[in-house]
Amino acid sequence: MDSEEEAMLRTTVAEITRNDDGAQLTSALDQFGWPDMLATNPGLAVPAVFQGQGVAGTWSSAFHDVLSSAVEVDPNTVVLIPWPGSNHTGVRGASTIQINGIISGGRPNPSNALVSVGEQDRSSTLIGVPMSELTVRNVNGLDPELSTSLVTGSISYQAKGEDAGDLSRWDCALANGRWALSHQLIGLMDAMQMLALSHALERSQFGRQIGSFQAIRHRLAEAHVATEAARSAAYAARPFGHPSWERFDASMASELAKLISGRSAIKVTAHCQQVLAGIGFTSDHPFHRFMKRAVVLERMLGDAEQLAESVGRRLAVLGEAPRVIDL
Amino acid sequence: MSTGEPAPAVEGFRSRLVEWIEAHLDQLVPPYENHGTTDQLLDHQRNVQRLLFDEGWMRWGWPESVGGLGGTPLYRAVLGEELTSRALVHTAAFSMPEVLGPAVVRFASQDIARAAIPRLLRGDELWCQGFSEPEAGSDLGSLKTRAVQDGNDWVITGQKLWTSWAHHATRCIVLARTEAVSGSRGITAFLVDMDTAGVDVRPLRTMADVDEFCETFFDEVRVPSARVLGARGEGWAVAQYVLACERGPIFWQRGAWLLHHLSEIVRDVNPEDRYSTRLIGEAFADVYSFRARSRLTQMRIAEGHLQGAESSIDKILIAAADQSVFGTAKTILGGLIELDDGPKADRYRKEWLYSRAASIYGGTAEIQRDIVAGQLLHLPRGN
Repeated sequence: MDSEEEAMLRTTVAEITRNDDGAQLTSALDQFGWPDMLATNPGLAVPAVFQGQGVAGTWSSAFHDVLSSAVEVDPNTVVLIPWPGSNHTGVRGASTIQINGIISGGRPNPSNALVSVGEQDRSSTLIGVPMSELTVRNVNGLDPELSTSLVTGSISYQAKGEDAGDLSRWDCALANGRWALSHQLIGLMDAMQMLALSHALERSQFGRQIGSFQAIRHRLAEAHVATEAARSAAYAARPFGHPSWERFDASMASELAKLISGRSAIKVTAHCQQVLAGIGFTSDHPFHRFMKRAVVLERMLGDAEQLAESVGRRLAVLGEAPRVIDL
Repeated sequence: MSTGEPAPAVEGFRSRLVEWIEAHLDQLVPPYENHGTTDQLLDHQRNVQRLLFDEGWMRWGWPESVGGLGGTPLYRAVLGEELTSRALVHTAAFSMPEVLGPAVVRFASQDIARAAIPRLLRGDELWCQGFSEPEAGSDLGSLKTRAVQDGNDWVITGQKLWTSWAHHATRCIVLARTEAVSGSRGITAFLVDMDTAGVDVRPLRTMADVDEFCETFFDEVRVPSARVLGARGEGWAVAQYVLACERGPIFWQRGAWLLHHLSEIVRDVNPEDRYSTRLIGEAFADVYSFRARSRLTQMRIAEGHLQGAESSIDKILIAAADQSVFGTAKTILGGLIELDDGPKADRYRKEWLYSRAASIYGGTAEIQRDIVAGQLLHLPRGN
């Protein structure tokens, strides 16, 4: 399926995402030309970078870059990620807008934050807020290596914003962000499976490799099927604005990709954890890093349950179950 | 449409087909409510197939050497999808030519394939699959039906089980042991005419109260050597091919059938009802996972790469999607399946009950997981 050029790019990106992490990885990706590739060929760049980060267990500014490029803001503006459970980072009150968002591995020292204010008709307004007006607090949470900060604040109601409209740039950010996270989750699933598979082959009990027991074989088969379902769904989605896609389908396909990869990731963590048993519970074994990252990213931009509700609502409004993808 | 016309692109094929379907609805809509009886369902199926064959639709995607019009097998998937998604045919019946047709094209002699395939596609004949036996289900390789050579004939004796529609079938692909070796290596496949002396069929009723599958007995049934499919002792390859073909157009149209039912139940769901929308979203994601995966499989098959162990993933996903859609229907329909006697209840009750077998027929979910573990993940076999 891959052309030679694509395969080469994947190999190179896999190496880059394995060799560095955090701010160093951001620099390495910049040198490689990631920002330009994101603008010109996201369909190739995003799966390669995010799957690479997933397999290696690394993280960079790439996720914030995807959001920024989707809403077309300069790299000095950081797009705030909604708190799990919400689709927005700003809530309009009586006289102020309450801001509650996340930065995770963003570029250093942004001057502005982009806040999406949800409106009642489900459209949104995008507002740029100087970082100096916001409170930033670093948090470790479940996965400290994600370098996460919580950003809060309150600004006056009259703040200048631009109506992002019904077919909004914010929808585009959510769609592309979900699509990118799906690919990272696939990489994480691949990594967890590799760990569990090699353990199943190396570990013996009752005089047999544990990978020969049907209970283990079936768990690993389940994990593999869940991963492949996620992979197919992620590749069926494409970046927003792809000419062959209706906006509705693009946005729905990203929701589905994230829904499916999210719930697959949770299944895969459970199966692999069980196969790895005691050793997988230690901090020495690398499993917990992938597992924790998968659990945190599953919550970003909508977990499987929220997205199922959203997809179901779309179908109920449409009055049908659309094909979305076709031969 | 006639022979000699260049094969259209899939999208062009689809739009012409949809236009044709809409213009011929009076002949395509079933003349009965809901599923009808097995006789009614098969009568309608024959009428639709004849019409589709005579107008060319049923011939696209089949090789010209056996009476088809050539072109990609994707046409067959699209045809099944457009018909089943409108419930103009029942997917279980419409998939029958796809179950055994490709194996006969590949393994029968040119003369036999050229004579038999057009009759199968036109609905003049219905074929059944004589694989499973009372003592050989998941362990198909242990089958006991025997075939003994006698001059130019083979003489088959044994019992088959779960032979769908054997009581309506004109031919059957029978797996029988011809060699004195155990397991999958000593098996040969035969194309047997069901009106041959010694064939006896007893229909069984499914728990959905449908007389779909049968017990089929073979008592010294004489079959000419020309009816051997593939080579003597190579029946396992034929069986594997038949099972692999199931993952082609049949799976794609089953996916369309699932979407059709999900569409029907979502019409009654209030978009603000968060419990129901979540259930619908989850079921839709199950179907979508399957379709995203199957789409790639259909493309690979169209390029001539029949899928082996890889397609066990498709099989596991479609069984999950099937049970998820009808399980969700049962919940959303709020007691209709359990406590109502109306026609819609009866139809959904049958579909829900049928979906219980999705993880059993065509190789159980457990066998599929064994294939994934052994052939894709290369895990060692247990004792």
